Amino acid sequence: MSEAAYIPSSVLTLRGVRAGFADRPDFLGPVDLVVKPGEFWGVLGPNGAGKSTLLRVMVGLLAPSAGEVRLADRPWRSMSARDRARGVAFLPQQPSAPAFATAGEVVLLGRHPHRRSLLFDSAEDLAAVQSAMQVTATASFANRRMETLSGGEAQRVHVAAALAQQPRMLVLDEPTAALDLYHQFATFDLLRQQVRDTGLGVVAATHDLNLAGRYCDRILLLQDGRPAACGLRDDVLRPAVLEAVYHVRFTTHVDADSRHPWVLPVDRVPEAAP
Amino acid sequence: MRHLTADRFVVAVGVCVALLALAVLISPGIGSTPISMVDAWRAWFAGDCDSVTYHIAFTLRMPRTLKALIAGATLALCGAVFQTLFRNPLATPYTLGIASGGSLGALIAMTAGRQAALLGISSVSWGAFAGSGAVLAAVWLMARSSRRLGGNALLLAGVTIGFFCSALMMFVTHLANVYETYQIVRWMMGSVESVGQVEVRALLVVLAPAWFVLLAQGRALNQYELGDEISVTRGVRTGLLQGLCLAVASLAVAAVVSICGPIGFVGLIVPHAVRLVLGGDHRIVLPASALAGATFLIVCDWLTTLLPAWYGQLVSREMSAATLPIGVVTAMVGAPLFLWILCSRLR
Repeated sequence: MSEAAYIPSSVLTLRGVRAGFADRPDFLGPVDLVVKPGEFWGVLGPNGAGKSTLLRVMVGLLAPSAGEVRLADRPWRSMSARDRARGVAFLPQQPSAPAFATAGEVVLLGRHPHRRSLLFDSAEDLAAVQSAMQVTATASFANRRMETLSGGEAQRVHVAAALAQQPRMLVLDEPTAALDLYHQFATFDLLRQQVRDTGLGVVAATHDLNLAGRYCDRILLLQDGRPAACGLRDDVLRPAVLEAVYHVRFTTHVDADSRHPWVLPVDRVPEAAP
Repeated sequence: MRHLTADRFVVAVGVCVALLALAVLISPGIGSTPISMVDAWRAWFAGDCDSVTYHIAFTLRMPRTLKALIAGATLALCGAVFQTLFRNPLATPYTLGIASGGSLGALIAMTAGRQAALLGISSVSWGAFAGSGAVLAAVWLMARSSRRLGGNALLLAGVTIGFFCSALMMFVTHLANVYETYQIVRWMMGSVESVGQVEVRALLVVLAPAWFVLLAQGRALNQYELGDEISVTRGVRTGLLQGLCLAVASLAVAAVVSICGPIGFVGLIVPHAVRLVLGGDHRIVLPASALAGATFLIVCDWLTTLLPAWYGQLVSREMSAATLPIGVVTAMVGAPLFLWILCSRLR
């Protein structure tokens, strides 16, 4: 990552954030997290650990019951919806596409926070859409209807729309959940490349420990709404740490070439009730 | 890449405007009395207000045409908004029970005995407006208590309220006398027949602001189709959008129903046809639906007088009713058209 791409003013900061739902308003937290530009964060944890809740707080879909979210030095609460949208883009688990829209139109919708007129798209909008479709290799089916695309193609279109939004931070909820192995790697390769080339900050929730180990710089591991571990990838993806959270025994292996950790789940820990 | 430039917008919307203008231009020449369109407009430009031609073309026919224009535009525009808002292709302007509520109100006013007028608008229209308003208030209260505005719960609530109003309507109809029953059945079929220009002006005052509000939501509705999570994080206040669109569109539809009765099918098929031809971008779909709906209802209004005449020639006898209710024509034309659209989409 070059120094020029590092823009300290676009740090996403969570301080003592708690959040939850009507019956458990403090289910999540307290979470302290600083996501810098050019960092790739993975959010891991078993089902119900609070991954989605945390992401929803990060992108402003859910107001924290305590603590504060800041983008750069501005508190989330004081920012207009439009300013938030220019700072942070969100890709939910299963985004729906309009029935009649083409891939290009869906990418163009990512330009909403940058709109200048009630009706028309600007030259900047088109330039942003074209470059987003180029890096995601979606330009070749720009004119195809969304319903004719495969799962992997549709996912790339949604990522392209998020990139066309030109955010400083991109937050994704299980971006590989419905993808085959090849497209899982392709999606994370694309995100990694954006992190490296443009200084984008990425936060991705995932169930796949090995994808996280291969691509993420830092990992937040959640258990029952609380951070069980948070920090550099190699410090979090250790058998002892993982075993306590997942109640599964692991063996690990460090890839000889890339030095990425691989974790292999072996067995349920019998006495532990998750 | 289909992005929206001024050129593309002007072409798509311009064609719709041209078709509507053509329909309005032809309208004075169409009806049971043969008048040529050229003579009619000549009388208009000559200011020949006393001639029979002028009277038929511009005192009798033009207000009808304008009512059809206003009603068609409103119903199709609101239909397009409702279909997107409920994320349901079968949603219509009447899905929330506005038509049933309005009809019930009108029925009660018709059978109340004495009929009166307020501000030049009949008590039947006021009754219909009150009925629609009561249904809207009920739906709104239910939505507020269930906190699931825009969901299927709201659709179900609307449909159920509609059934309840229908039951009350049957109750009232059953107890009405023969003349009232005829009046009721006739009203239920919808009409743009004019009794004066007051109604046109009243409609315009209520509807013009509603049109502007709804037409300005194109971009927001485009985002809304991506789901709440994406649209909210892109800066669309979806709760506000739902509330605003539902309230404004419902009031607009209630106003149309009060004056014209529950004219069916326009709000369902026109937006579908427009999306098939012009794509799904609401910045175009909304104005194009309004313009196409207006054109469609004007053409249907022609058929209300042309069809009985053609049928009379076919069976060679004089027709007793010279004009069909417009709701009959929209359903006759609209139902097959909608089936065709459904089939072509399933393919």
